[in-house]
Amino acid sequence: MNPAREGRSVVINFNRDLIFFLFKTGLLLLGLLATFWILSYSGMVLTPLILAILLSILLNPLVLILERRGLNRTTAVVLILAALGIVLAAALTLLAPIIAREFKTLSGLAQHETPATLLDKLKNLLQRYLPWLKNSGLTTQIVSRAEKFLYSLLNQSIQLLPGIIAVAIALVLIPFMTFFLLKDGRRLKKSFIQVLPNRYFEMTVSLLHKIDLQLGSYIRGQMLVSLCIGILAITALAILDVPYFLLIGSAAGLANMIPYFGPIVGAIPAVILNVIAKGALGAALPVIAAFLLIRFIDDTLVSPNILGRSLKIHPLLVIIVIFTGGEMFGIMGLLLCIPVTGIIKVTIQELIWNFKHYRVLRGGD
Amino acid sequence: MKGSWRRVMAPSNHLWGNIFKEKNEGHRDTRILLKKIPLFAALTKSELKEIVRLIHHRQYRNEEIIFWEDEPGVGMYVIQKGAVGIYKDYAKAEQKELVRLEPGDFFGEMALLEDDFRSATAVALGETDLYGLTHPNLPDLFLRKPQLGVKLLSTLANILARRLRKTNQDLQRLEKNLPAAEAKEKTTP
Repeated sequence: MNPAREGRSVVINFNRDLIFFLFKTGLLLLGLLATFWILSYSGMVLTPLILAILLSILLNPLVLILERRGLNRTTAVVLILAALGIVLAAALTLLAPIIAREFKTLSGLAQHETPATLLDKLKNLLQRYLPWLKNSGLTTQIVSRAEKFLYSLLNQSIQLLPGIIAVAIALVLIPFMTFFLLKDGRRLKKSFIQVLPNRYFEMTVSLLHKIDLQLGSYIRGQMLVSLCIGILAITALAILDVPYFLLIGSAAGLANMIPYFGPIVGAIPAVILNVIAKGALGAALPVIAAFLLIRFIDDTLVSPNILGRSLKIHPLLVIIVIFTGGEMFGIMGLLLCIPVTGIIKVTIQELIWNFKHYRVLRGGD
Repeated sequence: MKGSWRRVMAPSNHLWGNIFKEKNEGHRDTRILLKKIPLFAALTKSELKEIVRLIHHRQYRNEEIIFWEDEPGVGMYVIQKGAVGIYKDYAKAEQKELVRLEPGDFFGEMALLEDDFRSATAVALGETDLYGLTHPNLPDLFLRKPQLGVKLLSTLANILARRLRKTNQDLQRLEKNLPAAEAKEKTTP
């Protein structure tokens, strides 16, 4: 055969094989997504499981450090979880009076300020600071929109109440699952590899290792960045004397796990509450400035040093998965969709690399 | 009281027995086999137990491929039972058997050190049982047991140094004999 033609046929075969391989992988991922979707309806197990997986990835380096000091794995895991429990309990005990005070003020506000009085306050503010809106009828429109938003928010918070039982169950399940994932994670992985056919053995070992490495650094990095942002936000809001600074600051740190939108979503409640509490639109400025400063510190100091070259997800994909995650799984979906997308992206990347280098995926042997 | 504590922790007690059970049952033979391998010969009993926990036991049919030449390597294998053939250009017309390995022999150890591609194909000759130690396990192991890591790496370095010395000697001998061999080839009609 003509060598040029032979080369072309190899390329065609390669592309056809790659398409077939990607098709099979796509089917597998669809199957996984379907399983995930079905499991989400028994969300009492799935959400704690995902959180336990994230927690075990986060705590694994600490367990390794204790093992290095001569402790066996079970003891190391028990000690780490006990220490975490003590730290959380201590933090709660220390912060409980502040949180209780914040909730008390919040419920006090709810007693004195019904949604109707809050809306009146907003109307007065708008008319005082933006008098030109008075005649155009825009004030009424803005207030009616805000009214709808406020009531839908209240409705949603009422709907959240049955979730309290799920939270209580999760609080028991998460430490239990984390304990077993940390203690038996290696054994589970080994047992999974053990049942695979020989021809997939080396490829799977390599695939799982690379996914482990990339995902571990990504998740640990994201959580560490969120912790830094949370601490920065709490400090800044406390200095600015923003009401409920502890709750809003923690929420801002948590929201930071959602790329692009998180920082904005985290800042909005702080701005609104400060404006309402101080009764002046100007009160928004220092809070916005504080969040811009936090963003600047994050972009220049925190993220480059902690995340480095870890996994990057395209903004368009972020928008799609955030909306899909939020729509399908609510608040947990919003927070977990990015790490789950990370898992899928790393898996696809590594599968494509493996496809190029292992003949078993190209239909050989 | 001591007895009741033991009863609670006993393997027959499903929950606690499962959590704290001795996982090394049946691993004694593997430890004995590994102790005979030069790479693991210097390890203590507890260190060997660590290795046994990490290794994968794989069973191959006759002529089943263990790994292919030019594919990324993930670790080394120790032969427990059967035999393994190492080939260049396997399944091609110019196929060449480099070596035939037997129980107790090990191969693929270079993959423990570098993320490179396999230089030859390994094929099971007959029903073969192997123990595989993969390099993704090593960073974790070295972090947990640095002393074990140092022992393992220094033994591996010794083995590789010995092989390099032998390769150099072979090369020198070949270079020495090359002119004579060329002259002989020229004179032969």
